[in-house]
Amino acid sequence: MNFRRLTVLSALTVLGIYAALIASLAYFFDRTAVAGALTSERILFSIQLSLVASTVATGLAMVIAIPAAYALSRHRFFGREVVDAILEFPIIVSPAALGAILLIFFNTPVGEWVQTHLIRFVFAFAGIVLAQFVTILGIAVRFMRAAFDEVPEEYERVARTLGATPVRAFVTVTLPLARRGLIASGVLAWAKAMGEFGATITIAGTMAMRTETLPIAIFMRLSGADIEGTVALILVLLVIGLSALYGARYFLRDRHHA
Amino acid sequence: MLEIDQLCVRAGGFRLSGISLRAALGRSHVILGPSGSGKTTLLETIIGFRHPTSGGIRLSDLPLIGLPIERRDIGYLPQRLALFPHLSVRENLAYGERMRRQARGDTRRILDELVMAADIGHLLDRRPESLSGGERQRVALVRALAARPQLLLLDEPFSALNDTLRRELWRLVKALQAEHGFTTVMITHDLAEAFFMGDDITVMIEGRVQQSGVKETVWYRPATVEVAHYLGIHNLFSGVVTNGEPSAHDGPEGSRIACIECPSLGGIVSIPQPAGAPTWRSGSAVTLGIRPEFVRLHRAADAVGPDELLLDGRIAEVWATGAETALLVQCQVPSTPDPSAGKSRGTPSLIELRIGAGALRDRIFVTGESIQISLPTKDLFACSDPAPPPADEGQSGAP
Repeated sequence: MNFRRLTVLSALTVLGIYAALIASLAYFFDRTAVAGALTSERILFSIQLSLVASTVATGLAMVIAIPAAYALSRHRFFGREVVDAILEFPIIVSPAALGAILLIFFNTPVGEWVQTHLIRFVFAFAGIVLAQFVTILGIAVRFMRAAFDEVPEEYERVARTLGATPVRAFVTVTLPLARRGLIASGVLAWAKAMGEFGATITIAGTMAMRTETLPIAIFMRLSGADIEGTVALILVLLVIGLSALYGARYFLRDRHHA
Repeated sequence: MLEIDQLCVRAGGFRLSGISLRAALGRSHVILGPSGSGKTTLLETIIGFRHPTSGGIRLSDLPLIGLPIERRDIGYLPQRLALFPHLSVRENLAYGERMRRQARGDTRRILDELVMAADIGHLLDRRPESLSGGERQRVALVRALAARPQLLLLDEPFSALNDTLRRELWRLVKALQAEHGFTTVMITHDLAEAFFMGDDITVMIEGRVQQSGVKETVWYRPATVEVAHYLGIHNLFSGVVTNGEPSAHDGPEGSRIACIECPSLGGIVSIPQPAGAPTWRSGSAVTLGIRPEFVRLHRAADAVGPDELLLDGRIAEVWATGAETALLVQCQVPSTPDPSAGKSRGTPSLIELRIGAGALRDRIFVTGESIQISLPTKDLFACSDPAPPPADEGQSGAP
């Protein structure tokens, strides 16, 4: 077997593994269960909660990630290597541990003060957003930095010599040129937030009609041995996530060729 | 005028040390040097991409250090041009006006004139990716000039083009400069480009200015052996000055004669020193040199002038490029008495000469063939190695 065939086979193996896992859902697929899930007020709440929380978390992450990624891509500054390394923190620490760390923080005097005087996070909507936010922030910065790295700094430099301030050079040149990468990073971060479970359940709990996100709803169905219901919710999550990813890819490809 | 005084810049492990040069208003200044000599670092410091550790840069008496890039009034044409790929040619050209918001009254007229001069009117609605190499260069040039900068910096922008296109763009830059009167500073490692584009040339090697002056002075009278080597001059011979002091009787029109003991050229050689050339002390070691195109093939029928050194030799190597034929000649230097040192033996030397293809079209040169060559003493120059001597204007320093 030549090298090309070996690498292509590896790529197809990746597809095979995930396709087999998804195909296994068909064994317990029940049309009635899916219909029931899509009409259940509790499940619809979970879907809505997940969509809103992940969108807010992604929006907040983007607000910090875009300038942070730009700084990491363009500037050398004190602590840059540490910042770069800490981006992997949510990946290294398990989601449950991340949630536990958040819970511990809110049991410190500072955390308690925040909870009392600013926003209540534990067992609340804000906790879901926070859990998703801290989970995706590092990934968002990492991906967005790659997007900025793709844009040669020379464009900004020329823009500066043509009269643009640093902010205007960023807005009129760098941002449009990094647009595809940034949107792709945002969509990926959003999909990751949609599927976030460990940190969310640790800090926000599993309260139906309050903090039960779609992944938590899946877990609750599985805990109750409702396999058909679990499969239905997994398919809902899968459709939402894949639609977003393929939608973004199609949108970006379409715009690129326009 | 662009004035750079004692500029020092640290860029990673590389340093620019004590860079000083002047680029006069409306003139074209070329910074020449090998890769890694610091040309781009210097250019980036002038633009403001890098901050110097010491020294000053002034443009028309305005100190540039600390001034934001967008307020320096400098146009920039980088090597890869950096046309904005997400904008059309028209939007690229209008970018400067858009950013400055308060457009200068005649900006639009100037832009129209530049578009016409560069012949890019038919490209305005195209995207940069659809342009040819030459078209991109012209668009980038017009974009850089549209804001009417005092100074245009060119960072080897034509290096990737073929000869025809490059010459076309050289002429375009020259024509626009004559029309609009801006100053240019161009960096290149291409000698032909430097000679065509430059009114003044600065040669940089290893982060230092080796020589800076009017083009002809640098080109024909390199100040150091390093500069001579970089300019493609390999006819270099060690010597010792026997009397370099100015004297009333020496040379026409106040010029001086330097007498240099040079065993490789057969003994004492007297070379005229032009006004402004450095004064050599007796006993100081120098290197004599001559550009290969100034070495002549001597034919039997030719008379030998009093200011020519005639040498016998054998052709060691021949190579023809089509435009010219280059000969490497192993010279047998005649023994001559040396009144100062008592030596009487010359040292054989290799001398390169270049003959234009049209001059001796039917002459065939063969390796091993005996020929005679002559070196006009007026074309010989003396230079130092490694550092130039204290110099006055013309040979080294500001033009």
